[in-house]
Amino acid sequence: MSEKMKEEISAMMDDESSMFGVRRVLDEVESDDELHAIWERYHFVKAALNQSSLCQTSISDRFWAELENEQTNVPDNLELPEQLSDTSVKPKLNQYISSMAVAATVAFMTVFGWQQYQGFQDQGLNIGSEFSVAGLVRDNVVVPDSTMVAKTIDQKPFLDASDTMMLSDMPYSGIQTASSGASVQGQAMVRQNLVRLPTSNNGGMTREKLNLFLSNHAEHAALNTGRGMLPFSRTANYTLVEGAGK
Amino acid sequence: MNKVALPLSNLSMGRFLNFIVSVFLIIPSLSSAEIKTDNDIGYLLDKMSRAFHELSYDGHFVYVGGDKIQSLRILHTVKNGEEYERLSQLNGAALEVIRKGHKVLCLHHGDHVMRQDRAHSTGPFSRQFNEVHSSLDQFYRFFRSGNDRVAGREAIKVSVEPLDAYRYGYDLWLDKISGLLLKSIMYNQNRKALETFEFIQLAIVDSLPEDMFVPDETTQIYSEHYSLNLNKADTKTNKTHEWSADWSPPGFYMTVLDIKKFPVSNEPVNTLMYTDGLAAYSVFIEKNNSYNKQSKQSNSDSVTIRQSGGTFAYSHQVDTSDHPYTVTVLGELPAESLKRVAQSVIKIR
Repeated sequence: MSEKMKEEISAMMDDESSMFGVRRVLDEVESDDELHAIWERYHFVKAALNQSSLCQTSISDRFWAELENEQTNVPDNLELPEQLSDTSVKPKLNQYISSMAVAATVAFMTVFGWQQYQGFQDQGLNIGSEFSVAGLVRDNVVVPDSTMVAKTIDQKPFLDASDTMMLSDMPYSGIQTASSGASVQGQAMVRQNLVRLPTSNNGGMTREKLNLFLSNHAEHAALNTGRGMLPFSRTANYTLVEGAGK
Repeated sequence: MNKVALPLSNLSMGRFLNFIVSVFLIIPSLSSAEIKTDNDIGYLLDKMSRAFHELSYDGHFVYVGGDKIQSLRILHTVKNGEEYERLSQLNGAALEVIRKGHKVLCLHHGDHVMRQDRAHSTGPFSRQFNEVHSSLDQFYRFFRSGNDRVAGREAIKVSVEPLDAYRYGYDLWLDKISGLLLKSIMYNQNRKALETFEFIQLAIVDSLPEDMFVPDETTQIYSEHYSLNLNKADTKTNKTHEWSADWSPPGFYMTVLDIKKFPVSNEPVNTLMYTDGLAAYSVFIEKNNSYNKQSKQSNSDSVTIRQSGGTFAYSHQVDTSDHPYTVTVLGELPAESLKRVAQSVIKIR
């Protein structure tokens, strides 16, 4: 083994070797046991300098070893869920899954939250600045009911301060119930003021009545806007109420 | 050597020149007529409206409004001068709308509601479109915006931009051959799509058999409806009606003035319907028996706005000297427009 080969190994470990030199070193190390020993020694020295370990060269082995190590660190009084306590790796996996879930949720909410923000921003521009995001963020009150109304309080050049807005049928809100706060739909709720809808007790616009009005209106639109029966498909967009008309 | 006789060789020089001049005069005029036809938006839209009424077709289309998607099938044919039309919803709750002539049946398998009505058709997209197209130009800008392909068919795209804030804009894709509307997108003023109709399959045929327009036997029909349609003169004067909307967006005119009875209420509902030919809205006024005047709930409890796709519904309470009423305005217009209409509704008798 020549000094030149030792220098080649050293140069390679310092990332100073050419591709040809690397190839030559690897070929020599593979065929020469003495050179292989030097190769390992050099790596140990480098690892020691870098404070890392080469004891586990396999990623798989290192992974399971860390899991084993993690298991030994689990406090004795930690009660695992029954369905997870049968193997040693599950606590760690559980932790991984939790971490992944949190990360995924954050990413998901970020993306969809932005979309919701955009949706409401557009909505606000559509029906006036009274529905702008700034207005909707104020006074968040979430009422767990299937009938929700957004109440906007200020900055309303067109609608009265007391106007209410149904969210259950609004596009982009995706809101059906406040209890779905953990879901994606819940993202929209933080941007809206929700109050209980005064439904049929005040003779207001109930859903079944709205369906009938909509059906009537569709008939009118079908005959007067040049689109044949296409406007009738809008009626399908509202949920029909069982028993209406009986 | 025999000479081949050219047809023109028999013409005198004078006739030949006349022929050449005629050709050069006729060809450009034919060409300009063709261009004018393709670019004449009034002609295209009138063709679209006539196509819906006169052609026989069997198609599937999707409706996207808000976050909901519906798939539907539409059948249309003409028998002995009478239109037969059937619209069936293919997903979700079973819904069928069958029309024979101007008689409309809405069949909801779930709740057994049927509507049967004498309908009015005076909109500009009906046969009279050309008569009022010039007035529509005051409220929309129409222009061709290219060619496209929809449902496997060549289409002409027409863009319709509103000239004020009271209405929405549209992109319309018209079948190049038949003029039938293949796709339609309604936009708000930020060019955000509010609703989309789009054929995904369409067959234009000579005719469809009558039995394709018969309701399913399993459909139970419930009907309770009476209509007090007023004649056209009345719709103009409003004098025979109790209610009037003092304001409507420019270009909208009343097409229906009616008193209807809906199954969910014992009270008759005054109905006023308006269109500008592209968009429509309806006003419903009903007596509110459950409104508690003593406790007088706050206004926040008496005003609601709902939206589904491009359709808004605005509802509020109106106190009259004798009774409170609920006014609901519903249509494919911005909420501001509908609110302003609702606030202008007054009792005139």
